[in-house]
Amino acid sequence: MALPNVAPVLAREFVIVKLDVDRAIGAQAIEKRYIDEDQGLPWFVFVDGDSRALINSTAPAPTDNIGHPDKPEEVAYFKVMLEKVKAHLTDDDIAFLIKTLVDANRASGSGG
Amino acid sequence: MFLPVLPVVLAMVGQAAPPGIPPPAPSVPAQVVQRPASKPYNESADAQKLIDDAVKAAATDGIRVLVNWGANDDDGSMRFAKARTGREMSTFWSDEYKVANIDVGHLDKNLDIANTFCVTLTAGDLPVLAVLDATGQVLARTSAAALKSDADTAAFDPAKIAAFLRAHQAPEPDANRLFEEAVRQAKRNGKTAFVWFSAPW
Repeated sequence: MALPNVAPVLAREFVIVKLDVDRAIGAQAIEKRYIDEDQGLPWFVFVDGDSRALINSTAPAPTDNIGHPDKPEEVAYFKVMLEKVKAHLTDDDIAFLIKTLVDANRASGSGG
Repeated sequence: MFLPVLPVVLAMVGQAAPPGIPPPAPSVPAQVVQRPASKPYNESADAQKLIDDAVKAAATDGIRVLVNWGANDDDGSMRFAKARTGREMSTFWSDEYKVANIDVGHLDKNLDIANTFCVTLTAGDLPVLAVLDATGQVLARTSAAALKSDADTAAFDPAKIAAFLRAHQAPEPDANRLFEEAVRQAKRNGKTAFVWFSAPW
């Protein structure tokens, strides 16, 4: 997310906040507002300006939490998440983000 | 998601002997071999980039940077490197600090960068440590002499190292404040808050 070419694209749509559940006081309680069961880490949720969850990283079974979206079905679900909330991202932006993710997965040797 | 959240998986794979070659007879007890010392200080690295990268990573995690000025052939620096690996130290490296090890050679390398952090390097008193905040400002400095054992002045005292690190680690962030701030900003700008729960490891 911090890659120089990715961060500005994400910033068009998102205000990103990272909550370290081990260090940040109250992080676990905030997570529990949005999900009952332990999903493992990382886990993320897209929230609107009224704190309502729009969609979270727990994909329908059997995919489950895509905290690290590297398998093709996980990347596909991340795209679903982006499509669901897009207000500023264009289709080209989303295609770029997905391609960057796939490329990064390939470079790291993951990617299913 | 993307590089910062992609797990780095290192697989250690053992190799079997090639077919047809018998394994060595286990008749001689294994010799204790002194392993070559690792080199914590990258002698060819761009020091400023190491520091900049650590500051950027620390800012992302809301933690601090420890700049460690030393040299691979300096006894104090290498003793400190060993002391750092103690179990009681591990949480500092996993949760609280991003470390930038800066090679100072024989006090003839990267001195200009040390000067910008008002770090004074003295032979026999390495390493010198500087704690930086998320903006790269120096919060504290210390050096080997202050971290040595009272009983053995050649050895580092893990308790003193831990006390220094604990005294200058970042305060635990207030998740509610961060969360509310993100949601407010999202509302103000018609955006979505991307709330990412993770751990420092």
